[in-house]
Amino acid sequence: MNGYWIAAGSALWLGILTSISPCPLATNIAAVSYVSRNLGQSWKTVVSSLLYTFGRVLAYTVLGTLVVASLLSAPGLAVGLQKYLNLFLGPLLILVGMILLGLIELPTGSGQGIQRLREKFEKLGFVGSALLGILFALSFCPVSAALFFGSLIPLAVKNDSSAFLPALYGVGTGLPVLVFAILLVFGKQSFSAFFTKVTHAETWLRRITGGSILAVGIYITIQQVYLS
Amino acid sequence: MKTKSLVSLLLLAFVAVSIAMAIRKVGPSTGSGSAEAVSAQTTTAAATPVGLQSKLAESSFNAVYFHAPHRCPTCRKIESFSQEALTPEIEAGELAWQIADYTSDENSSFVDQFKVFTSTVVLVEMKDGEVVRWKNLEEVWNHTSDQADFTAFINEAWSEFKTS
Repeated sequence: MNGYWIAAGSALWLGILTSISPCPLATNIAAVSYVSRNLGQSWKTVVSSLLYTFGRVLAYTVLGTLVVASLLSAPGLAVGLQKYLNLFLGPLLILVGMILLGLIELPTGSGQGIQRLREKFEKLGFVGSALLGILFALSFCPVSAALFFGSLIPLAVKNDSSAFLPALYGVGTGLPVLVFAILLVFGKQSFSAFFTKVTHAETWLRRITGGSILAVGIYITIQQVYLS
Repeated sequence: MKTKSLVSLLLLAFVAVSIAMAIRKVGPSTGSGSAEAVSAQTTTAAATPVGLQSKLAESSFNAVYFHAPHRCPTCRKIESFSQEALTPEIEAGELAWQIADYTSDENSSFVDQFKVFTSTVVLVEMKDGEVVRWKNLEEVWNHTSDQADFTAFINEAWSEFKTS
């Protein structure tokens, strides 16, 4: 039992190690920007960061279960994700950044279909946090692949834990974004005058978020598509 | 307004070109495309040797450093520390040093065989052009913070591999 808790602590620590290594830095910046886009409403920021972490937990739990159950080959999966997903992550983030900045206009109209589409997109705010968590979790780089497939998976196999340990690893990888979001929420109190007096605060926040995600998208695209 | 439209157009064009290039990168290589890919590979900064099979066959013992197209700082450290640690054996002709991209289709059979999933060093013994034995030293990641410790780990792994 004691050994299991040591394994649980190790899984969480491996996740934290992954999150503070240099290669996921760009995606962490994009994630913090995205979850704090509604900083004016603190609860939305906290819920968004929790959903982002949940997305990561879900992705690693599913991957862990598939690999530990030997339904998928760990090396094949690791190489496949690194080879394909990272190439398309940058362009996708550029499009998300453009939507947040209003550079891509969503269709406006009074038609019921269009109205429903717009409502669905608005609702995607929270779902988007979870989707971003899943997407960033699956965007493996050599360091995260070494820690997940080389350290976490053997630990999960040894402890016969296909879901719990990968889930804890996911929590560890989401912690920096969660901590930053909570710090922003608390920090917001110190410049609450800004939020109460400046009526365009939300607009500026959306611009900062969109700009950050756009910049991260351009950086990842150049790095993965043009410099690799 | 015009500036906004121009920026949007430029960004969308950049996205379109990037997606096209990404598709081209992951697409199956055929005919002349394959030849192009080979020539492109030989001119990349990674300088991945073409035809790892034939390279391995040239020596009884090989140390292969596997990398991804994007070389992270720790990955570069693994490469330089390993090569430095094994320099006496390489210079003595006991061991050949090879470099290979683990995401390249060309190396996929070795990647599967050696169970490579990230940057690593694999020791390989060859006989009559075939792989006889191999050892994936994926623990290199645990020794990157101290070069002396890394060197000791690599040297011990090589000694064990050579004599077993």
